[in-house]
Amino acid sequence: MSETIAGGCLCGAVRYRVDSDAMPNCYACHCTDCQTQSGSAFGLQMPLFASMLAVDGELHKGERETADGVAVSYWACAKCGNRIYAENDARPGIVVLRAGTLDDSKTLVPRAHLWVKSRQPWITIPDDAILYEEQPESQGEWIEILGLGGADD
Amino acid sequence: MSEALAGGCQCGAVRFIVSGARPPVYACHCRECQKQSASAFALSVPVARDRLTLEGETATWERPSASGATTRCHFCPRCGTRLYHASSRNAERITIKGGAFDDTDWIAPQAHLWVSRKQGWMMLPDGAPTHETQPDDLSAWRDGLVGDWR
Repeated sequence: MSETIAGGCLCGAVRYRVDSDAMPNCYACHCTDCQTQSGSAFGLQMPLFASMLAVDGELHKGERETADGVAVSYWACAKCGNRIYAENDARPGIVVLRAGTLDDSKTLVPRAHLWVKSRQPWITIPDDAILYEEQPESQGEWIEILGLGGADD
Repeated sequence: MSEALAGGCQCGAVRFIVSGARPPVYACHCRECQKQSASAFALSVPVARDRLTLEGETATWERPSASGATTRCHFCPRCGTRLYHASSRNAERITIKGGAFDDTDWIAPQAHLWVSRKQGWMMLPDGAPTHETQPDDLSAWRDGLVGDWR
């Protein structure tokens, strides 16, 4: 029996469920945008098929463009501002959940680390993780590092 | 170091400068900080309120803290990036989010709180002081950190 994978924002106004038997893979992104957005050292990102994510509660939608011109939409709790997930034009049908918002975030282990070249120097990355100085260039690489849709053990 | 430290939100609508010497930095691995950062831990930079100069309006959301105080959380109303917290318990001091600074190369937490909630893969530097939860008197503990928040 799989346990429910659920999460939500800090104030509780937004709750969500992830439809998956196993915890999907996540990756850490150490780019400076992710540092700013998290207010911390890296973003923890969990790509999912959009159909896997069911959200309850009022969301605020924001939009921005990345440095290379990709339009990104992101959704945050309308009350406490906690970022929940994002989507971008380059990968239609995929949503990227901010994995630290999962109730069971203690068990997360990022499978890959992106933008290692801008990581904060005090961070030690485990030897068995996949590292990118920047980020994957092809969809194939993304799929390989993420095993999208479920843990690949 | 005494050069001003600049930072801001993700979309650029809110910018800030912190005057004076580099303040202390600590990490908190509690569940709330994991949720708020949507990542593995929060990085907190305590500074005196009068060292912060803000450009742009922030929106706020208030929450009660475990100790009975109220924490007012300031974020960019446009992109939602959390920028700093102010506690009702101490009017002089605020806590800025470490990742919000433009240059984060100098950020290195000197202590780690709530390691009982830490994500298992996160390796902490040898010798970094850790707390299973948090110090009973958080305010006094902050005063003892290396680097002056005042």
